[in-house]
Amino acid sequence: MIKYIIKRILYLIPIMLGVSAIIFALKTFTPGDPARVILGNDATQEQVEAKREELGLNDPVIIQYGNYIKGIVTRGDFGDSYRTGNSVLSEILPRLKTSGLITLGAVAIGAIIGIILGIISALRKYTWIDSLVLVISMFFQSVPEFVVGLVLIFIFAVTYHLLPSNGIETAAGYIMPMLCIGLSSVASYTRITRSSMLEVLSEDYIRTARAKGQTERNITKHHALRNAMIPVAQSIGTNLGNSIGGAMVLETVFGVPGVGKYITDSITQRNYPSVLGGALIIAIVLTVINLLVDISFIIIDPRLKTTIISGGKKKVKKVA
Amino acid sequence: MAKMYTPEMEKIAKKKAKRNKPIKSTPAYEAWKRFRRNKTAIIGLIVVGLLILVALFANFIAPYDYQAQDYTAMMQKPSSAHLFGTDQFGRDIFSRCVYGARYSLFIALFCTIAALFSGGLLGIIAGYCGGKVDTIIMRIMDIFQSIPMIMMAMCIVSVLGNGIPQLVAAVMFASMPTMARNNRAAILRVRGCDYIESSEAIGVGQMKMIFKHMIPNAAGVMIIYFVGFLAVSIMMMSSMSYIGVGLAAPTPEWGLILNDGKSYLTSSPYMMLFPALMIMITCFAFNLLGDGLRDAFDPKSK
Amino acid sequence: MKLKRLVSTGLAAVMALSMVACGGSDSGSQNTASGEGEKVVAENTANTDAANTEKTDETLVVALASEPSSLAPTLVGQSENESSIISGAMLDTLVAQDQTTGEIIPNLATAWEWVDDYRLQFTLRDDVKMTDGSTMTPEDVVYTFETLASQSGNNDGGKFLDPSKNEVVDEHTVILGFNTIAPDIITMLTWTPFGIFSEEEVEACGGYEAASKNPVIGSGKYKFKEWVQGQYVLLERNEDYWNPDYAGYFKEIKFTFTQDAASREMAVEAGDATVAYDISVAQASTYVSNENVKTSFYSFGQVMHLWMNIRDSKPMQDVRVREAIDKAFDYDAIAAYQTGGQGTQSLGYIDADVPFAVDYYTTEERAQDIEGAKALLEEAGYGDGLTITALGAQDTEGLYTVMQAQLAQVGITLEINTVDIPTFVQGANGGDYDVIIVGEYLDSRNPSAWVFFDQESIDTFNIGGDKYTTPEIEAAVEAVIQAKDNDEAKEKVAELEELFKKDTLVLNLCPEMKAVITQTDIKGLTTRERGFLDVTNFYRE
Repeated sequence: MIKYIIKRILYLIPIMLGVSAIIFALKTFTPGDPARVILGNDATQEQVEAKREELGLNDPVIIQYGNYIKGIVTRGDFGDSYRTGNSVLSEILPRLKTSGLITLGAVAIGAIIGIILGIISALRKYTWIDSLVLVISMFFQSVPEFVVGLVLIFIFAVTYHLLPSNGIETAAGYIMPMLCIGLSSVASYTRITRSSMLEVLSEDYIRTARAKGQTERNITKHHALRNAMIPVAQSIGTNLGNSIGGAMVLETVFGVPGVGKYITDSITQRNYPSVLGGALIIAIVLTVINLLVDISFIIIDPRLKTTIISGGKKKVKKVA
Repeated sequence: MAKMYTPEMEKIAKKKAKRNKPIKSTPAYEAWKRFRRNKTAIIGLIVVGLLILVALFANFIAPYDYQAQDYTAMMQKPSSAHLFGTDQFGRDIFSRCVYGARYSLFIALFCTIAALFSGGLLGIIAGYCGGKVDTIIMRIMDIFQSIPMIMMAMCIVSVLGNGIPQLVAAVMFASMPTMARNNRAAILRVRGCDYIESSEAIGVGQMKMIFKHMIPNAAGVMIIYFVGFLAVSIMMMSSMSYIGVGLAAPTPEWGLILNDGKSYLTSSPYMMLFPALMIMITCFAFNLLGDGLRDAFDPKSK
Repeated sequence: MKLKRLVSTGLAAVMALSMVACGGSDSGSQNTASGEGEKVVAENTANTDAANTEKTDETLVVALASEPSSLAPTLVGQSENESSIISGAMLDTLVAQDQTTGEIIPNLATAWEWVDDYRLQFTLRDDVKMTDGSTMTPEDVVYTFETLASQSGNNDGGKFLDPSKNEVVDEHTVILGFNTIAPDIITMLTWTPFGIFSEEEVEACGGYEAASKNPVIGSGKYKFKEWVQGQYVLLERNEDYWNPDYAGYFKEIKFTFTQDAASREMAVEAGDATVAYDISVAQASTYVSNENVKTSFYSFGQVMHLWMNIRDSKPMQDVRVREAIDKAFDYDAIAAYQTGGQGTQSLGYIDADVPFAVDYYTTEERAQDIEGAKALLEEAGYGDGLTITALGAQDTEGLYTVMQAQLAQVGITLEINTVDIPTFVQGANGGDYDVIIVGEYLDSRNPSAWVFFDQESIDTFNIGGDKYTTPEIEAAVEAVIQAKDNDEAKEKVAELEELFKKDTLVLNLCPEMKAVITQTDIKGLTTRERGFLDVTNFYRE
């Protein structure tokens, strides 16, 4: 087990190396000189040149990359933001908290609604309720998130003055972003819950329980639900990745100072240390969360130990 | 004895013969039979069909040129002259949405094909070869997957600029890991089947194995991803337009029309509404269709 | 059962329609004015309301488009619009400009006179309190100007300062030196970047870099209080402000940053923001009939020009092509779009409201002439079509779209390349375009506004634009700057216009305008240089 965790954490190394290599590669081909962006339009060429030298932008990319990696490994230093001069880490961590809260809230909203809808449609399979659930859950998957966001602002902030239109200075500011990202993931939870419930409901032990004369309610509650939830919970990891992507756009809509907005702003400002830092932090967070999800499953259900550790979600499904 | 064959009996015998006749039963046929029964999926199929017709005959349907500006008719509400109203340049939004079907579907199709060819092929190779090749490909895909799709797309557009080929490339790169993963899983599933093992045993060549046995058998699952991804790429294009890395004006791509309308949300909501509806209907139809296909090709997941 | 399934699918349509209803019901009544293609009439403009006399404990919330990287840009050699707006409330300049008459009025200095062509002497007030409670001294003024020359020699005219000529005459008198002859350079000193701060203040903050993040400096109407990165900047009223005639209505001013213009407007409608800045005029004109907000428009002495890249673009080097583009344009339509129907086309290179402007062109000679344009193109060898590229930041896309349709009529395909700012700056610098829209602020004859025309600036500065000049143009510009008064300047401007017109170097489009959305009971919209919002004079009715 410990060996497995260490192995998973070690996986982070190639991923981080790779992610930063990709961004360094993109950086070399992107037009727009960071030094020029920092100094503004009317700086002279010499000033820009001096700034480039100061930022180390004149070194070969390989050297820049090496220095960057060295900084992280030896000092845990993700560099300084070109724009503000602050350390990237000190800028990202508070934003990570904000984004984390929103993403967690969104996953909770999406998962709760999705699971309830999924159970309903599994228990009422092939009826009109089933189709209705399908349609509802798919609605939010089919509308671009920023449209939902703007319409929500229009309804709740502009028309009824119930929630703040942007920012997160009050806790109420979190509601709309969470809702918006959460709703878009409902469909995927519904689908997984439904199919996994159907699969579990056709298992032998459920039939046995039925034969023993247990009520359907009891069967659903005690036997089916618990087992059916395993693939659902495992999909949270994937969904988290999608939610972070969704947050990148929605944080702009709602003016939320999160990691997503930080990264999108940094890309348009050619603020590469911030782009890199943001991307690496997201990669770390995703890996750690997926690991935590897997570990918690092993603790909850030791049967899963072998399958998780040897990898492959498909097999997990069979066990369930 | 001959007398015993009455016309009725003959009929029954014929029926019996018909019933006993071995019916064509390919996986595709079975899938179609299951698909046919699924009303929501059929609705999706019909809507997609209609959209394709709209895209093909856009020039006959659209009453105006999609880029014709009219300064005497700026920002008009929907009326009989302008079914969906006009935008800030006095362009007919209905015509733009109709042509938008052509552009959006076309671009989405290209994005999807590109994603399938790049990511899909990698996935197939990884799934088929297994071992070291699999590990290397999938680890690289892991790296790509650690970068959020929209961020990847943004970076690529800032490198390449904004045009249709660049957009296709951006969406392709951004979606490559997901495509690879899904296709690898599809191949792995087929790979585990007995008939593949047995053809391997009788020494069927590698290429033949991939193209004759594995891809056709994994095709069902791949089609599901294909259809699903059409919706994803349409959504992604609109998100990219929103953050300002979409196509250049005056391309009537739905995401772009939507983004144009966004500025006028409180004063002229119809400008945003109609392109949003088009996107919604299209994605809805693709999703319904995709779900139907999933149930049809992959009955176990039902 | 079939029916029920259909019903459930139909429900999707209902949900979609509910979206229509939500969007439609509230604003259905609002879009009648613009709905019929009428020209909206601006009721509200800037710099007209009476001054405020009352103080309250309220907070003014100003929604800006983006968060600046520093709050005292000149300290760190950067220039950003947002930081100019914010620091404008904290810094006070030696002299100010009356935004309606253009007159230079006393501020921290009560009087001034030219010692010679290069030196200007100021008599300072003796009752100006800096943030640390000390009184402003001539040494502070000298320190400020030395800082400007050393930290931002490039920016906003810092390069025209000559600190070696600065001199403290006595405890109320200071002489500032310049390195160029320009009678109107005093206008430059009314700009926010020339606001006065003291060495002690900057040191108390911890140096230039720290002071740009945490600027407890200046003697302005508001003081810095807090900057929560990513969220807001908070200022508080300066209770020790030297001018007893000024009363700040709001106790605090909070700047928030929302990228999306529609979201900024909605923030005002929702009551979360008092003022939304940086709304495009075309977009703002749709809010005029909205009863929940007040929309104000103003022009500020800036004209939008279409420069043609004579230096790098082959087709543009042919004067016939340049003339053809001129003839293809319907300038009235361009102006109608860009100013939301409130401004008319510009008939000169300089905005008509500027005292030394000349209306050098007539609407008749600028009338659209499709056939004439086609003939010229034919003659130039582009009879079967010509494709040219326009480069712009994203906010120019609308105007380019208007041009695109007009050029299409004469067989010119305009490819619009709207990119993010860094790519734009690089493209503009590299000459990677055929045509480019540049708004030029020529409100005064202060030399920093005219740097686009001398070869040296073109070679070293990187902003896009003409990138083309001739010795004649350079001489003509210099004559304008050095002219003794506006009447003489007018003659010189006419000479400059002739040079532009002769070779069709530049097409004058229309005056640039700005729009500000406020809550309905807000008055006291005032502006600073370049049409920047002055946030210190707002009050409620």
